[in-house]
Amino acid sequence: MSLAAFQRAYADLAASPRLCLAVRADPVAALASYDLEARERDRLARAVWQRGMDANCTLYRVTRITALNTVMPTTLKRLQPGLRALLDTYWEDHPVHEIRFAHEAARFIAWLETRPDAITEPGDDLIALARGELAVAEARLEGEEA
Amino acid sequence: MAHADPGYDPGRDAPPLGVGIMANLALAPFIAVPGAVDYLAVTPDMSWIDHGPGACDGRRFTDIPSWVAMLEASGLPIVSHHIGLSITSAQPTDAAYVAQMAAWAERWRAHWLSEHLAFVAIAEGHGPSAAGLALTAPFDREVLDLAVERARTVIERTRAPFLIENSPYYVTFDDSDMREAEFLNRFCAECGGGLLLDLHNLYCNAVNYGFSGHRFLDELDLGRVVETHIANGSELGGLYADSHSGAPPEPVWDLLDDLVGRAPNLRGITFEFHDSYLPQLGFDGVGEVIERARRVWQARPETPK
Repeated sequence: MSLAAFQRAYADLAASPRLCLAVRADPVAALASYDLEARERDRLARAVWQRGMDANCTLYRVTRITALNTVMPTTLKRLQPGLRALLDTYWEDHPVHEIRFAHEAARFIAWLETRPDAITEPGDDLIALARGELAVAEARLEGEEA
Repeated sequence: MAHADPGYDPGRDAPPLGVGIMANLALAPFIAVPGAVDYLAVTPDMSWIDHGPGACDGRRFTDIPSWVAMLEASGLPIVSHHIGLSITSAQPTDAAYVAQMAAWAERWRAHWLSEHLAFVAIAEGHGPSAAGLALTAPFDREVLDLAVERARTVIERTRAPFLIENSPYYVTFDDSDMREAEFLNRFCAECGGGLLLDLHNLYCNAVNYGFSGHRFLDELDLGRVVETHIANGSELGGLYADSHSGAPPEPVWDLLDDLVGRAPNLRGITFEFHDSYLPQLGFDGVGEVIERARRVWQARPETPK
């Protein structure tokens, strides 16, 4: 289980600059929930000081925003300028990446529906736009160009 | 054939292909020109939809028609370059994924299959989930054993040559059990696989960690190299990243010149670039990269048998 826990913790660090900072401050406490051996914990405690961990965090965000931007680019533009903060919250609520872009987009739409205060324009219009973009993307993937 | 026997050289079964390109849909008009490239490297995961183990009608993988149409129209030799095996992941092997690798390779007569030295599947409750990026594990014996076992499963299931690709890494674990080159050499020796040596990944690591890519070649068993990748990258937070941003930089061409002179079983040179950079590079720019790579290919000292 230890290697699996190490990989899980490493991936969680790549997904969360906040967790990286917590490990910098107190590695034992911040990594206590993972079933790590001392060598593995020490490795991660050193890794969070490497500039490459920042690069990993950036790449994680690129991966996740690519999924949404591929399916619903217009919706994301309409969510500006608060998009960054919105996505930070979404990724904290759903830290596990969904590799199926359409599933990720559907999950994001469902999450948006629970956050009407975060949407600056009429929420119903924006949700309808997002659903429309998702439908087009699904049709394209199925070869039924809409 | 005993592909999984230690010491087996996968290059013996693979024909020399020449210079190819990593396929993407934006390249369809370029690929369609006869003689534009000698083969296609295809990421099969881009050509299907993975509906997950719980797919309602039992069909976990379904085609994306636009990709199928492009591959059918090309008529080119194909090699298969995967991103979903998660070869160093401490999760159970995804048997359905391996079966799909085999089915896809058979359908398109892929000359070999390859995967990155990385993990993307991580523990989530009682099953796996996706990490959101490919991460390189420490070069430890335990990780090597995992990768070798998984590669053997793929080789036995597909009956095709299987290559491991060296990855770019942005975090290092300096107390690893072995060095990267030793890890790659042992992997090949223990599972009977080969190397897909990505020269741009090597260049990234050399730039970021201050070592010589040419010295790294000295440490590798270059007889295991069956395919090589060339690409370009970009700055990322003070590091140099493998972004596939256009024509390869000169140091990568230098590494290619060095490699082809020392890799007797090399069967193909693949140019990788991301389709979002096509407006800057253009089809003419792609063609120039292919032609330069062909000159290197044609100048190699030894033609594979």
